Amino acid sequence: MAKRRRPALLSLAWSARGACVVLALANAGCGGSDGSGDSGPKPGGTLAGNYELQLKRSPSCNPVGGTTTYSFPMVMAAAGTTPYPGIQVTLDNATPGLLEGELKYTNFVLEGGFGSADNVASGEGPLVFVRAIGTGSVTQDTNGRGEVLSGSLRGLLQIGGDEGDPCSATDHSFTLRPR
Amino acid sequence: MSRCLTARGLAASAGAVVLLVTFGSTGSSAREPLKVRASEAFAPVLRPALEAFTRESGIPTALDVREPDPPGDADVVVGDDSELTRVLEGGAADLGTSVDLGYLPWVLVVPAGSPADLHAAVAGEERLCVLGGRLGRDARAALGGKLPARVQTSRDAAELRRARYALVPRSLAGPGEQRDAGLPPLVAVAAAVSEARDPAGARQLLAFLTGPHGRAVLGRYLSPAGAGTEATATGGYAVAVVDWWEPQCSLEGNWYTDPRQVLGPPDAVYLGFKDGYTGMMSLGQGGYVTVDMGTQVVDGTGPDLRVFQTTSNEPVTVYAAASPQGPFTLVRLRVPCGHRSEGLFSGHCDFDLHDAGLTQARYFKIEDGEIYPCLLAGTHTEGADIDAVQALVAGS
Repeated sequence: MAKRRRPALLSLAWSARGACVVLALANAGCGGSDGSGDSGPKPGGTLAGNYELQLKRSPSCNPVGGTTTYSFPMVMAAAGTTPYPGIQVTLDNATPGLLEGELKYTNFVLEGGFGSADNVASGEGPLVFVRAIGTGSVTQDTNGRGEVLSGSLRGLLQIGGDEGDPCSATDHSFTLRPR
Repeated sequence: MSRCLTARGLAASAGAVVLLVTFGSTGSSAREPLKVRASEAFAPVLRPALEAFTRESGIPTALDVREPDPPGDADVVVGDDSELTRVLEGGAADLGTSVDLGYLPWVLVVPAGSPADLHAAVAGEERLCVLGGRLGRDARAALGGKLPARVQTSRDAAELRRARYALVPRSLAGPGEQRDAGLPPLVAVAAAVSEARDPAGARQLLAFLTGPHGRAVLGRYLSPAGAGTEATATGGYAVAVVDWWEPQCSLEGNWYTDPRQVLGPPDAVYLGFKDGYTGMMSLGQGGYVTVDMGTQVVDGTGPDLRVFQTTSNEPVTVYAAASPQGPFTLVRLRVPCGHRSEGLFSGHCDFDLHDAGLTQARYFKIEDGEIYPCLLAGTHTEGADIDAVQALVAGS
């Protein structure tokens, strides 16, 4: 059985140019231009600690309970370096694995699976069951922490419990923001 | 809660229905009944078979109608592939005893003479009544926007049969007109529970169900198993791995993580003990392997790519690209991957480049679609288990 990892205050980034893996307290980067230009948030940032995960259903799904966005308090930590650096994000103060993201982190992009073992109560109230793959660019917030402001999500997002509304789509979305 | 509208009006809606029906003597001096657990879809299929088994063997049986995962105190579990994946892979049921009983199709039940279009058919205030639980959820997710907005789930077999409009496995269909639901059939699988109180009785029942008498009784609802597609279609197999990834958590827990195992023809084998396999790669939570087919796979008539996946029907997502660096285009998302392959341990699922709008591709990313949380993993084979990848139409 795999073990739950504790969050570490490490920053982790992967550069395609030099396959550079950095584990440092400072922000991510392997030197040279970060490609972001002077406007807009810089890529990278520290990916660890407390986050809020928001899952948003595709517009093609039936509306349920007047909301399409569902929030969860999560804890993020670095998870492995081979074959690529990884990030693990788990539901805070809950059974490990009740809601879990296992994500590859390369080129300032997080990509991987969000899965729940059962229905999970969202901050908005409705129960959520998810089995989906997310992809999102990581940028720095004003405190240098990494966040995903607009990620795509493809897979199953069911709202409302076992007999609730399942919706499989390629255009769900998600955000991961520091809290 | 809204309810299914039936021929008699509104019927009571029910959640999970648990029924225990015993066949044969249950007197204090008699033998304890052999306990069989099966979900609602398979209960009508099994009842006459269990009665026949009891008459033939003298062994009383009890049918416990509820989801077979976990198996509880059952001796034998019966369910769809998707219901038994974790029971079999986790060792709660003995994979070595598992047998296919047959295919159970989904049907749409409508009043005779209803319009062909389902939205038009479910007119007025009526609702489409759909089997609840996991199987119904998967069916509703697969049909998505094809379903009318007014849908109500139920796990009450009587209510489902009374519904004027229903989406159900054939075993739960009422007297209306049955139409093809456009869904893959359920695959009825039976297996002895590893901690069965009566393992000999369990084996005897499985032998009966797969024997001529059992098959004849089951044949009222089930189409024969073993009618899977032949494994040797045209085209070659993946020749090289160009990329792969699975989470550290999965790498720590899974025993089969060598991506080279997906190359070449299907050769996965179950070694006869829990988590004992050769010839496959378990992808873990959301992991993937990207392969080079060695030549362009061309969009032809019908499917163009076959993925061989071991044990049950864990879902697989496939992306395609012209170069190893991509960009990769989604071909299909989370396809249940367990269509039986004649003569092989692995099942398979097929993909059509047409679905991605591609005319050809050489590189394919095969991604886990189960996405089960790694931290709750109960096996050493988490994620879809990839045996091989085959081109079905090979270009020059």
